[in-house]
Amino acid sequence: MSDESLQIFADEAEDLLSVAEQALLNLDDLTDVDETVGDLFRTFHTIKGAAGLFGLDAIVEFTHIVESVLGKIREGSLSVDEQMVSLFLASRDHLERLVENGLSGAEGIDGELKKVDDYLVKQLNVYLNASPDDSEATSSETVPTVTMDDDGVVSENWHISLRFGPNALRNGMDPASFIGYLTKLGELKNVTLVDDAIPQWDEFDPESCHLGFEIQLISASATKDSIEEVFEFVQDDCKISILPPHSHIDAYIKMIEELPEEDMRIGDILLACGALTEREKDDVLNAQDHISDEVTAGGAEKEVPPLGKVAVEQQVVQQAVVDAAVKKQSDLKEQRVTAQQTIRVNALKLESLVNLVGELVIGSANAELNARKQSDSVLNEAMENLSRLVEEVRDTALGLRMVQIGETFNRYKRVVREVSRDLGKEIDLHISGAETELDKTLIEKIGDPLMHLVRNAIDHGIESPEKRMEAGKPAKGVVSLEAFHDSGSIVIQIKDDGGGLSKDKILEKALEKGLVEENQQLTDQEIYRLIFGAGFSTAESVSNLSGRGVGMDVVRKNIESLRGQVDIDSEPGHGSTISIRLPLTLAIIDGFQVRVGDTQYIVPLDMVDECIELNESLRGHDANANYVNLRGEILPFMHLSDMFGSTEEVEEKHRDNIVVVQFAGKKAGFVVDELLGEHQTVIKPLGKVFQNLKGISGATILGSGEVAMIIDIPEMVNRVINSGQNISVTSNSIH
Amino acid sequence: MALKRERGSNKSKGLCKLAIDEDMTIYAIDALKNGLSEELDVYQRFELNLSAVEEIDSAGIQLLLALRKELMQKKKELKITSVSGAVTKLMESYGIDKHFNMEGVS
Repeated sequence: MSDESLQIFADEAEDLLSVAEQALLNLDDLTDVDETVGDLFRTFHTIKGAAGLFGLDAIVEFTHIVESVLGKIREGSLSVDEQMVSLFLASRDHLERLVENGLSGAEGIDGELKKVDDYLVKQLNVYLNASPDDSEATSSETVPTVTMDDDGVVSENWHISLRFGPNALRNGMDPASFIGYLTKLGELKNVTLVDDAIPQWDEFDPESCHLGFEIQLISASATKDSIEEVFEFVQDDCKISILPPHSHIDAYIKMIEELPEEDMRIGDILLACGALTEREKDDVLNAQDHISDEVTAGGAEKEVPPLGKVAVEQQVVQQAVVDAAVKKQSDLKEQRVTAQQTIRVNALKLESLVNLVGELVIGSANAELNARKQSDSVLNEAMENLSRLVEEVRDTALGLRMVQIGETFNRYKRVVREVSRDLGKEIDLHISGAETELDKTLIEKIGDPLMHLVRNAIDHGIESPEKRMEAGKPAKGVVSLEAFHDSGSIVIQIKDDGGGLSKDKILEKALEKGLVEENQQLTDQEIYRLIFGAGFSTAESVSNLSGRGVGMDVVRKNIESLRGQVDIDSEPGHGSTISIRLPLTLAIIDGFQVRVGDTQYIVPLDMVDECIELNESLRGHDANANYVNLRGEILPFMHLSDMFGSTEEVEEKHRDNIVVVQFAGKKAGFVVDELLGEHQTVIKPLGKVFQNLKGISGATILGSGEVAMIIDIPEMVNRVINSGQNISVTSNSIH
Repeated sequence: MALKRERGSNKSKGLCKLAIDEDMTIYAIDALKNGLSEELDVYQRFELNLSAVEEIDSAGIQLLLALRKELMQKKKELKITSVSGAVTKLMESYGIDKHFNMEGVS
């Protein structure tokens, strides 16, 4: 097998394992256990089958044991408990490592991996009631994992499968008499009546026959002909399969395929009546998966109808049953089609596409500018059309990188489950806004900080059940994860309904560490923000999860490196909320172009609220004031020329404009010389030299080839608001 | 009529005791099904006395299986209180005697 297909297997296994994790966590709720166990069984089964194709024996053997335990649960001979779920989760993790191991091309498993493998196998075998020696045998290589190549089944008996046609009884052909007659040929080891085809009572015609039988016959003398003779009279009314002892496993596959019942069900019936061993059943069903895969790949449309038609012609099954079966198959096909709608693309290819689109945007801006100079209306019209298309291409290309955040959120379910159990707390995780889309790179990078915050919320936020009861809150704590879009950024909130942050404790600690001075006046927000300082922790007990004082500052740095912001709010006794605010895209944005002096700047359009003219009536009497009255609200503003030191002479007819921007609920204004309008902005990172430049988040190239700076709105808004505060403080002190 | 409602049936308690005292074969099966249908919606629990069934064939067994399926789906109870030799024999040869609640049947 090529490396490429092995990689595909690994990707698929990864997907399946995350499905399995979800299912396992659902199992914890103990609702719909049957369905979930069925899902799990199929998931592990698929992994096993695929691993078998690649000869990854370690995975096949391990999965087989997991599957057997699940099989027992499904049969009802075992019931699920918490311990078992934990064991399955551990097994799932182990499988993940086995897949990695297989991917690295290692032949077998050794060292730590082997130890874990042995340990888990031992634990799982406890549920299978097998002694450890048996497990050795199961996992040793002497047991063939795929038996379909040469050998037949173990059973020494004839297997006879009967499905009587609807008219059998009316024609006086009683199944009982045929089965009775069979005893003349040998001993009936097992008769299993299959009543799945009996319709609902209301539709049930008692004179029609809906019975089927799976029979094991012990007979040394019987031949296929002699058994066939028994059913000679009923041949037209009955579908018969006769399999001699030690039949090739392919014969069973063929038979199962032809029976109307669900494959799994037939497998179980055959197992129950002793026709197949557990292992053989698995192999048969397994092989069948592959066969039907091939069939679907080879031309499902051709295959499906004849199978049903043949069955009807032979009057084995009623039309309704056939319809159901055909529907089942076409449902399956539809699922496959949906699966094909997503394709895996190399991330590098996507990246170069986005880069190219960026160049295209700049190029088209350049062309548009030159076209305008020509004042050729036809050319301009064509250009306009072109730039509209470029804009669409841009949006589509950027959308390719967007992923829903839900999957990331779901990963934390497991963390919450395990951590809360370790701590003896009861915690629910609520998720909302799972469909919010976010750049894939951002999602990857936000994972760790989020994990930290979730753990923090569980460890420090939520109190122990006793404390909660005392405080009159439900014993079960709630941690919620929320994501939503807000003016050009995406906000992720981690909320808990725990005890909230203790201002006093934070202050005390901060004083101790010399982070604040005594008598310093701090707002609540400022106090809370102190916990993002390096080496700051207020946890009274250091647990192995958190409380060691590294963490929050790392979280802050991580988020800031993504050009994001983190904020914290808390209400004593009611919990705290941590909000992470991230820019929506990293590559291309809609910008608003302005001119200050000779230089042009870009303001991210999503953050622009409005543009107003700065005139006397707005400014009031004080010409030096740095705020205006905007419809009854105070709007602090600043001259961008002050900030960036531009030196243009103010002309007579000059008029100032204020660009009102909004970020994280705060508004501020910038005075600029000219508004130039919308501009598609390709963000080019600044070099290392300028990395620490405040107020500028990047640069872009304009259509004219000039460079324009992109204004870092979050930073500037804070600066405007803070400078306003400082001044008002000074003016107060003067008076 | 082959199907008889026995004494001890009680509508308010939802208990229905039924006895079948004729052959449960294809010839009588339609009538039996219709008879059962009349009772199904009225009662919650059913007790079936099959001690007087002299002959039963696969149609009879099929009817019992269909009845069991229907009652299970409706979350109702079915108990077989007594069976004749013919019924036992066929049930056993089909391996379905374990499918029914036959507590106290010797």
